[in-house]
Amino acid sequence: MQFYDPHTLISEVQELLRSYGLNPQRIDSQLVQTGACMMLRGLNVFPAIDPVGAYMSTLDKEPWPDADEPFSMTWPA
Amino acid sequence: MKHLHSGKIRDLYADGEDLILVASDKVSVYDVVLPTPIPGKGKILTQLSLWWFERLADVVPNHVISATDVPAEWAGRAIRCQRLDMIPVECIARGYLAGLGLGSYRATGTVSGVPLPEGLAEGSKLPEPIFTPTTKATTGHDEFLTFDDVESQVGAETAAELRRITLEVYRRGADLAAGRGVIIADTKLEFGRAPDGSVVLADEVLTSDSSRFWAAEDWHPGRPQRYLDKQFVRDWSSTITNWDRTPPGPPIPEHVVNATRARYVEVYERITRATWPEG
Repeated sequence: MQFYDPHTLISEVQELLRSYGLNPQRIDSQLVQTGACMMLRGLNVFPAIDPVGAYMSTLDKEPWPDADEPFSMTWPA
Repeated sequence: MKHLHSGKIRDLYADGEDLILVASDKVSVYDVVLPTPIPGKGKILTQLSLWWFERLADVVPNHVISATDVPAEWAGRAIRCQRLDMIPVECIARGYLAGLGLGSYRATGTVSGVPLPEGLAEGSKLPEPIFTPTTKATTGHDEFLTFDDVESQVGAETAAELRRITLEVYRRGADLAAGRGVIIADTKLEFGRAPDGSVVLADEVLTSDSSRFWAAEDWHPGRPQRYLDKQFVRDWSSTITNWDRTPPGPPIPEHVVNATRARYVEVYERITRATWPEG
C-alpha cells in the first residue's frame, strides 16, 4: 500500500500554482482536504499523515473533553 | 532516544523506528496547562490505556510494542509504539449529548450529519451511540465531517471500517464501565495503517484525556455533568476570580491536588477492579 500526506500535497499544489503566477487561497479547508484525498485515492495512493506530524498535532491540543467543550455553553456547572 | 515534541500533556520521542509516547502529570483547564502536576496522573492514565488496549485486542490491533521497554525514568507512563501512517480523520463515538455535539444538535438537530430525535437535553443518553468524525487539522480547529465526507476522503471500505471499529470500541468500553459506576459519555480514537494496510488503533484509548467520564450516580440530564476525575480542579479554578483564563495558570492548592489524585485513582480502580499499586 502506498501512502502520501494530503496536507503535503495541498502545500505542493499551492506552490505549483504560485509558480504559474496564481494566488491560491484555502477558502474551504475541508473541501481542499477532501479533494486532495480523493485525488490520491484515484492515483492508488492512500491519504495518510506522517505519524510524527499527526502526534505533534494531537499533543498540542487540549485533552479531548476540554477540546470538545465550548466553555461558555456548559461550564462552570 | 531523540526528543521530537513536547505537547500540552504528553511528550513524543523516537527510538530508531519506534515512537515513544510519554505521559506527564500535567493537568489543564480552559486550554491552559496549570503549573502544579497531579502526582501519578501520567502513570494512571497510561496504565488504564494499556488495560483497555489489552481488552480490545479482539476488536482491533493496536500500536503498542511495549510498555516496559522504555527508559527507567518513564517507567509506567510511557508506551513504545509502532510508527503508523495515520488516517487523517479523528474518530469520535458519542453515547450522550455534550460539548460540541450538544451545540451542533441545538443548531441543526444533527451531529456530523446524524439526525437525532427532538427533545434531547444536555447530558441525555442517545438512542444509540453515533459516529461523529472530524477533520484532523494540523492547524486550527477540527471540523465535523459527515460519513459521506469520510467516505470521500478515505474510501467507502475504510470509512465503514473506521465507523464499525469506533462504535464497537465505544460500546465495549461504555458497557463495561457502566457496570462499574462510570459513564463514558463519548470518546475520541485515532487510527493508522500498518505497512500491510491493516487498520491499527493508535494514541491512547478510553482514558479521561480521550473521553468524558461521568459518575453514574451523579448523572442528571438537563444540566452540565460533573466529571469523575478532574472536577475538583475545574470547580476550584472557577472560583479563581483574578485569573483571566490565559497562561500562566494559578498553582493548584495541595488539598485540590490530593483530592484530584484520589479521583484519578478511583476511576482506575472502578474500571479495572484492580488496586492502584501506588496508593
